[in-house]
Amino acid sequence: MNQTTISAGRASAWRVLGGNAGRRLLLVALLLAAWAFAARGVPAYILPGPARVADALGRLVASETFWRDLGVTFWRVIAGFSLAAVVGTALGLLFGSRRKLGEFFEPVLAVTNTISSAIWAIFAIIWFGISNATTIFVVFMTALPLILTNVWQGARSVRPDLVELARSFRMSPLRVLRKIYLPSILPDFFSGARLAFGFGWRVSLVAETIGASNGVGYRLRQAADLVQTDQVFAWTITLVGLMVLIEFCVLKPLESHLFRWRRAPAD
Amino acid sequence: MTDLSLIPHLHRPSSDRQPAPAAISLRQVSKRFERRNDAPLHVLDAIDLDIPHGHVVAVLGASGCGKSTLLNLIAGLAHPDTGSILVEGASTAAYADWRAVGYLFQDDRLLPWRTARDNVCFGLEAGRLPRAERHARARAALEAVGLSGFGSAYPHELSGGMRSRVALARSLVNEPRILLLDEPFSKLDPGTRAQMHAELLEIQASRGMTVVFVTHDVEEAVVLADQVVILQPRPGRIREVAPVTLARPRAPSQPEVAELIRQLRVRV
Repeated sequence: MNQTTISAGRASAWRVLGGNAGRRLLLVALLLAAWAFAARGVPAYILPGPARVADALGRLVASETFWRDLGVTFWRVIAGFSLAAVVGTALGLLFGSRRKLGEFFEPVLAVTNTISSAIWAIFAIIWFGISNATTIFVVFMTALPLILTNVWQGARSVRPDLVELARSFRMSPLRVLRKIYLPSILPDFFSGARLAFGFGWRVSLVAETIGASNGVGYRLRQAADLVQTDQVFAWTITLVGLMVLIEFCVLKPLESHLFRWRRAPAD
Repeated sequence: MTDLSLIPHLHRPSSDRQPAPAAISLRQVSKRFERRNDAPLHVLDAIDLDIPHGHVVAVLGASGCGKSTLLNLIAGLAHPDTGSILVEGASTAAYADWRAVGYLFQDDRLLPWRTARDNVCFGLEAGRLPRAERHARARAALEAVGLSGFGSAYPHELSGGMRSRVALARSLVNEPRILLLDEPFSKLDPGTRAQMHAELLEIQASRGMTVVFVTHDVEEAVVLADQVVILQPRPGRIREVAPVTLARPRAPSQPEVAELIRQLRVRV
């Protein structure tokens, strides 16, 4: 809402390009042109051009394993993410509402945050071998601190006057949790979950390259091993498209529905 | 201290000689708060007070004299160090019908993520009423405070006066027999405030509610109350209980009202 007013001064220069959609199209066209230019005279196994990648993408989507690979990766990400959301929310609420307990465990979170996802992937291989659990574990360990940190912070800033209000109506602790705590932390949970889902999705590919025998990450490594660079590009474009789709068709509408009460007054 | 049961009341039928149990009675109530690097803070000391059914009582005092603590003790949200508090004849520890005691806080405390109607519903959600019944009651409560048609508005879309009304509706939605108010109108402009006073008195009279409200504003106390309990600070003690027998509606512009306000100002 605010961007429109901030950029108002430069609006006249941009109006020539015909609004937001026009600008986006121009950007894509520029990037494609730059890509095509850079790919000229370079061997396809180093940098395939847009046409060749489009061709590879078409064959990829038509191949019988495409949807299965996409589906299995998606499933692993969702599983790891969901586990992290449940555990992270529960722990965040606990630590946020019991200050002493939170202060005691805080260093664990700080240390966990410094551990690279690649290290989790290696541990996962040692513990779970080539299996779904490896990828799910890596997604879980990456997403958990992000969700936990956000929920924790949200739970610490739950308004005590609203908790007192609920107490004045003699609400049970469980109802106070459901009716005051959960709605209060929802914005923090949402921004943590969004970050966690993005990170989880990216690290899932890393985990799959070393710890799976199917899924997008596995196919990426296979394509790289066979020097099918156009396949690598095709997968990359698929993933970028998928994330954009999720952002605009799921997250944005969900966000504006959940937080409709925060919209500025109409006047 | 004046014996409240002897004060004649023109509008209230409850001053019979028969010792019907008071709606609220406090006996030798004291409360202090421990402080980390200081002597404990004596907030309330040896408070004796009886509030008959259906009366409107103002607790008047400067800030920091334990007015809010007094309400929290009556509401059972805090407990006295010594002394006893009876609500409808039962000690606050044993009292079971807390839904019959409404509490209107100093700030409106509306849940920003809920519409006006759902905020009013909040008052019913500790119980087991079916959803449709809750919604019907919330609508009725909103109508009683003159806000029908605003049920689907969010708090940030409402003016200060309207938000106060939603909070009032929320504290009335359980049809309480006792209503506790902690300076709920202190942030409103004078016009809106006078309007809220009139509406509160109207609702109080039609339901026969016992009302205890806390204020630092002598004018508000005189306009609303049957009795004004004047607290003195540190430790909070009752200095005086002043009956107000002037006919309603009262306005500060009326000479008798203005005179009483002037007299009380000196004594606070």
